[in-house]
Amino acid sequence: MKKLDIDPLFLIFSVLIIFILSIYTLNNKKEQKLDSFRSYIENKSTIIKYNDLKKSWATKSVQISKVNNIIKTMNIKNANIIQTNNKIEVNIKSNINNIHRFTNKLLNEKINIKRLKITKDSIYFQVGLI
Amino acid sequence: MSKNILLQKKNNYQINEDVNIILSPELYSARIFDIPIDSAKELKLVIPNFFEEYFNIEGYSFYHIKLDHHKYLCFAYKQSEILEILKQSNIDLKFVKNLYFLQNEIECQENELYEYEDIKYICSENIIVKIPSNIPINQKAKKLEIENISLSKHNIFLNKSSKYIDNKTAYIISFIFIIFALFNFYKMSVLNEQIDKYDKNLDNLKKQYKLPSSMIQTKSIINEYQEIENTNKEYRDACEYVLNYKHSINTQLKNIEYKNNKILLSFENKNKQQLENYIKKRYKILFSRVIGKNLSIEVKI
Repeated sequence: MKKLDIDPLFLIFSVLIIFILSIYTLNNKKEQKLDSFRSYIENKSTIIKYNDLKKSWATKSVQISKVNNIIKTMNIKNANIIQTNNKIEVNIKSNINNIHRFTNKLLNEKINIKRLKITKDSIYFQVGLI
Repeated sequence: MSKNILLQKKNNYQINEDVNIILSPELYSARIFDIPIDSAKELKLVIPNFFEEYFNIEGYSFYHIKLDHHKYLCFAYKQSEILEILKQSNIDLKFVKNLYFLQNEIECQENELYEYEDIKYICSENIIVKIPSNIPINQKAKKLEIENISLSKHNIFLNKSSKYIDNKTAYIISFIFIIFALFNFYKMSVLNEQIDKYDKNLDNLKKQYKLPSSMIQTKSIINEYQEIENTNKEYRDACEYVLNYKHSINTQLKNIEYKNNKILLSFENKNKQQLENYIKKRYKILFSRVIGKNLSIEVKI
């Protein structure tokens, strides 16, 4: 077998360059990983926020269900509900106590109220649907 | 084809092309040894010991050629000395192609004399040696036609850095650096896997929550939803603030109407100024009017 004729200093220098290059590339890769991690965390929190907001305010079925639930829970029989593609209008006539309780319940829920009118014996509200 | 040169002490050349250097016997020591070893690796280890019997081997490099079974032609040479002679002879290292031993490049016939540029050599006990110039020789010497020699495959490598570092140390240092470099490359592959994992997880989350294709679109939708949430929150805060007043002074709120970020309030209240002052602390009053016993106030949220 032919002996590999390489100048030792040239060999060390070449290997040293490869080693330095590996450190440089590794550091770049570490930075890249850190950026990737930051981006992942940031995007994950954005996605969770998007999901929470959408579920709370912009999911049609959830908004309708919340309104129906309040009416059902308060045992209101004479609620006049008109639902279109982009809104629900509810008109309820009742005594002052029921109106107050209903108002409290309504305002404590994450319902997208567009209009609201409360008098002593009635409540009218409009819920926006996205 | 490169030119051949016999390198002797006190020569001077004008070289500007690649040359093959044939070392004269004064630049190396050659011996034939019977060594009962076949392994090249072991031979390398034992050959220095054989030369040690003749001279101090410090600073020498060694080379061997197998002649017969367990019979080896061995060479010992000083790289630094050869480098020095090359320098003195005006031969630039960049033109040196290969280095050969004269011993191995010509046929050595017992007691035959050879001559090259007035320097005589003799083949004694199968080894070519230089004859000192002060010894008179009457026998006719065979002229060495160095240019016409067809060179063998046995040549040596000249370590130009031998003054600073030997081959073994260089290989050890290089090996250590290579190990570290390989370890770094391994760590890089691990980091690459982690980066891919983050990207995959993010893609899965996007699919799971049915997000728009770009994050810019997502952020724009979030802003829209955030606006809805803020408006609702502000409205609820305003209602709470107004209703707190009603409770504190036992006034009667007759109507409350919310529309387009405005609240229209209708109170049964005699103290208009007190009520207005309370609302003004946090909200802008768009209008305030007393009609009969009722006080109507429109507030901008």
